[in-house]
Amino acid sequence: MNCEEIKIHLIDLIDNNLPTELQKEVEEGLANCPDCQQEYEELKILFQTFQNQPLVPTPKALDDNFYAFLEKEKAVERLSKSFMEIISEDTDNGKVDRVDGTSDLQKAKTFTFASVFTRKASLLRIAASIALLIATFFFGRQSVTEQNSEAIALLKQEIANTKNLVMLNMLKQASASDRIKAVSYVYEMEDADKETIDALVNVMNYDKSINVRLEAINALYYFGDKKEVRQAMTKSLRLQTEPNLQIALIETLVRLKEKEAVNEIQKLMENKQLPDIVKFKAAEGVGELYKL
Amino acid sequence: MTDEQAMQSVKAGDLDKAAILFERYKIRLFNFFLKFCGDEAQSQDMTQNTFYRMLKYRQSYHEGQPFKAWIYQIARNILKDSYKENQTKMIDLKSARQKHDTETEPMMQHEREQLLHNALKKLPDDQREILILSRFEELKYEEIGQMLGLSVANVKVKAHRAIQKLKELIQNLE
Repeated sequence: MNCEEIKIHLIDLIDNNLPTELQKEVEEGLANCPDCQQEYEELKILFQTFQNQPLVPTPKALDDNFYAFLEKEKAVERLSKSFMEIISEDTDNGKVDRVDGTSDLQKAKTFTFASVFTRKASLLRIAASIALLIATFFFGRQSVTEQNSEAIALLKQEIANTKNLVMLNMLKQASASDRIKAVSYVYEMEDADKETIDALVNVMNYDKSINVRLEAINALYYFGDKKEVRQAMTKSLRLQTEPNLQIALIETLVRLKEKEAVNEIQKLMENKQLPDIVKFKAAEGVGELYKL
Repeated sequence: MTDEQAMQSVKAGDLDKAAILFERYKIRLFNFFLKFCGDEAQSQDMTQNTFYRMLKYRQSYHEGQPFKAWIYQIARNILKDSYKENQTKMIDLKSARQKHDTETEPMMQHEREQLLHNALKKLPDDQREILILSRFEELKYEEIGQMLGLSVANVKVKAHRAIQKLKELIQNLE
């Protein structure tokens, strides 16, 4: 084996990466060549220098932050798990209803009650609040005391809050259909807090799926009485590049009678690069808003 | 419990197993980032983000996928993002290490480390990365191949070329 060949194998020799036969050959060649030996020593020192670099210990804040984050994720996971089960049951019932007609719906509901009560501890609280609501409805309809209705209002509030949380978590889902499902949750809410609105605005502006964005615009329409919602939609006109979404925004803003959007819509109208249909919708929108 | 089993449990919803992975990898990843940017606060941020992403994107982990390659892949993406934002630059080893220098450390070793670091800085990005992964982090060529989407043979050729280049640079610096 000549020097050239030996040198090719030196790194593998140090890494213990050579088949036994070849390793022997290289070692023998090495013994007979001072030049190769020097090369070998140099490489070994180089690799040692890499390995001898001392490891710097991690700061304590890293632990604190990670474990705090983990706890948060665990809480969200627990909540969405419980609710996903209830949601999927809701959906299943709906399917039974549509496919088999109303007579089977009763069966499906009985089944649901049974399973609600056989669920595990994490679900018990939610199940119990629902059961209490139903029980009050059936047995105490005529004589709901003030105290009871207060309790029911509280429970309702608690369920609404939880739904908010679940929605926010579901928006992180990978599939577009899950995110649409999450957005459409909004229709069941009576009011949305700032976090929910922000999440929806974020989806409207940045979600990678056009359909999900469109659904977010529709959902935001329900909170169109809020000034910040109308402002966010107006701003979004600049961000959207899809004709579908541009048109949906124009239509929604006109329906909400948002006069302050006129300037932004006018810009779309005058933008020569946009398709005619968008420019047309924009012109129509500007006209409508001026009429107000 | 192997890394892969732990990650599979995390994916299935047993998030407590994430703590095992955090404890096993935090020091290595922290030092990995430190090698590139030399800044402890920034390395802490990037290490944190690596584990946040591990949790957030747990559904994208495939059963049986080697965990080490997967987590370093995440770390590498975070590093790339931070390069893009132009926040991370290779800085002098001196300032990065000042706090951890010990009096007892032999001068020779220290000088060699300094030399190595300066030579590494001069390497093209892809060669530097492959050396940091294979020599500092001691990842196997297979693992690096999985991360970079290259064959083992290909990684090996690249790594060997990078070592030769590094040696030349060190000789020039000496």
